[in-house]
Amino acid sequence: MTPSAAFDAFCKAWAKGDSESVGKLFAEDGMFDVPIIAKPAVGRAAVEKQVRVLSHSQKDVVTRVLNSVEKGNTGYFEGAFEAAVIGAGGKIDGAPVRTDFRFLAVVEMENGKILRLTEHFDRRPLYPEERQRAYMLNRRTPYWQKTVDAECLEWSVYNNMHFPVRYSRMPYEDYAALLEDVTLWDVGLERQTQIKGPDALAFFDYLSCRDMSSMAVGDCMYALICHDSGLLMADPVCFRPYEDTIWLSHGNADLTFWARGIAMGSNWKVDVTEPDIAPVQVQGPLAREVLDPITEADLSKLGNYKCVVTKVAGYDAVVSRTGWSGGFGYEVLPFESTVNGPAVWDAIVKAGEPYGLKITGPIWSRAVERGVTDFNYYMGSDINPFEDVASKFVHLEKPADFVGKAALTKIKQDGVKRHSVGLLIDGEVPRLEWFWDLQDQKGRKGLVRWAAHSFALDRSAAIAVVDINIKKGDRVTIETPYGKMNAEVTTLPFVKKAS
Amino acid sequence: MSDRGIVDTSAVVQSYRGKSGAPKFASSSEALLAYAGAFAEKDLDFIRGAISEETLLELPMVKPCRLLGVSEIVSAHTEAFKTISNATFELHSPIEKGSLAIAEGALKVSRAGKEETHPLGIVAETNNGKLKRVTLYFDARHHRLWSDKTIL
Repeated sequence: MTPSAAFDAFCKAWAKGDSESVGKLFAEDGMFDVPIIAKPAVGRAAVEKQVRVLSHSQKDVVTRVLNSVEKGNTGYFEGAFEAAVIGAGGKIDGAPVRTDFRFLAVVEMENGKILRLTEHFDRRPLYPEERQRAYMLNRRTPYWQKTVDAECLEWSVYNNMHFPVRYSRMPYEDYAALLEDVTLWDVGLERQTQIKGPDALAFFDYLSCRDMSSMAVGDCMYALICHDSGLLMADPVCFRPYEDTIWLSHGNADLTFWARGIAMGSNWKVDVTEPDIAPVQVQGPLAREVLDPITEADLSKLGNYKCVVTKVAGYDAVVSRTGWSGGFGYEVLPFESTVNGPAVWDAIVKAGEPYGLKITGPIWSRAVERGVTDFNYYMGSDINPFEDVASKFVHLEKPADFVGKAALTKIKQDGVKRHSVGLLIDGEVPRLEWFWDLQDQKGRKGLVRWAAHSFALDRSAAIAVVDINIKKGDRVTIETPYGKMNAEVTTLPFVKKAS
Repeated sequence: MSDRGIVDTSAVVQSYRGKSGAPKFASSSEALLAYAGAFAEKDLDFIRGAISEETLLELPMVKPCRLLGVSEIVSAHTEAFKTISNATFELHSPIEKGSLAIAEGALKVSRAGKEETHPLGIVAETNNGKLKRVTLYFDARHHRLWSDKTIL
């Protein structure tokens, strides 16, 4: 096969998303490289996997060769690539974006197979923005520069810290890395409210409407924290690394101020502070392969929702079997994170190299599919925990008193008015920048709180809190910035853990 | 990567300097290599002599990156040469077909004490011994971050 014939076959198979046929064009040790991947794919299987992931988000692909020259086993092809790309510029709404650019491909052949196929082009058409501007009004996590170096495009603000959410890749690449390989997230903005002292567990139990009295050292537990009127303030995953210490790894809420205020002047023997602990998450099926070799503790013995005080890359840290992916993974919480965190980060990145580790933000699409949400005081206005996805964790009958008990008891006595459901939306949803109103044909109302393109379902999916009488199978109409959209109500999660 | 060696682009430029008048390239490959050599040497006069009013240059690392005609090309190169402390092309031998030549290689740039290497492809077309088109294909993201001077 000549370079021209090989490149023609490559383009045709790519346009069909036929990665298997692409793989067969390459030599066993063939190499494929384009500017949008971190490092070349070497070997037929690696090439096939890379092409499968990249071509997944591309529809209506047309490749035209404009000029070509060829000599022996080498061919150069100047061409134009045209496609509708889902996630161009990192958009997560599922809308295909017209993305056309020119390229130069180099094909080297050996024994009729492609030994090397390299494409040269500028990424600007795929990622028009260099990155969002940042201002010094918010704190940085210890991993800030690491995320800049990893080409983070966009940050949100969370607990007055920059929150890296989007990098220079098509969203499906990050999604595939989470489901097939391993990802590293800077979630140092998940601040820890530390409760320390002889009354740590009892005080924690007082703050939570879930019964926490059984929490043992080494346990992690999901908690629902309400204020006195019964509104949800935060739903942290909590760690008990030591007998007298509990960390509430909380969302976007001033939880430490609030808890410290309750403790001040009281009889609780606790000190409430925000320690220098900035977590990272290592999520994906290969998370253990990455972390185990650099962690002193044996992670194969660390059960789900358990944590251990250990060393990671020689630095003191807590490692937990928790995370926001709705699948397998760990969180690493280095002690003195502002000093030691960057070195721990580097060690994880290095350990992850053989496993294709990608530095990503949390994968919203997967979170929605798995029904994993985040409720907090500032974005969770008017939600009480009975309306939340995790309403089963409201334990009104628990032995200890707790903040919000009277209010929650009254809410239950009066009848819970809303519940959380899934929505299968017809059409492409815009980016959810604030909540969308919805109602059914009887005028019963609700609010879409999470929405994303689901790669597993290949359609738009959302999570909403709706009138308690809106049930599975009902049709609702959503008001979005694109106009009215129709959806069918379903249950959560959308997909099971293994899929 | 190909086992073809790196071409001495400086020697190609030099071979045309000895001739009287503006350069008139014998082949598209020589035109490609001579442009790369002249760029590395910041030889604006040579570049001016190698182009015409119909010449199109597409260079992702300069602003604007699409340059048509003598005025735009000279102006952009003048600004680029002020900014760049050192930038050299390391190119393998081009493959040519008539007035078209294509080569692969890298652009090496020194700035702030660091050396960066950007893999690239370069296409050159000639017309009557002058450059008709030069197009560079490479990911200029890092250059934009630097030369835009807006963010980092």
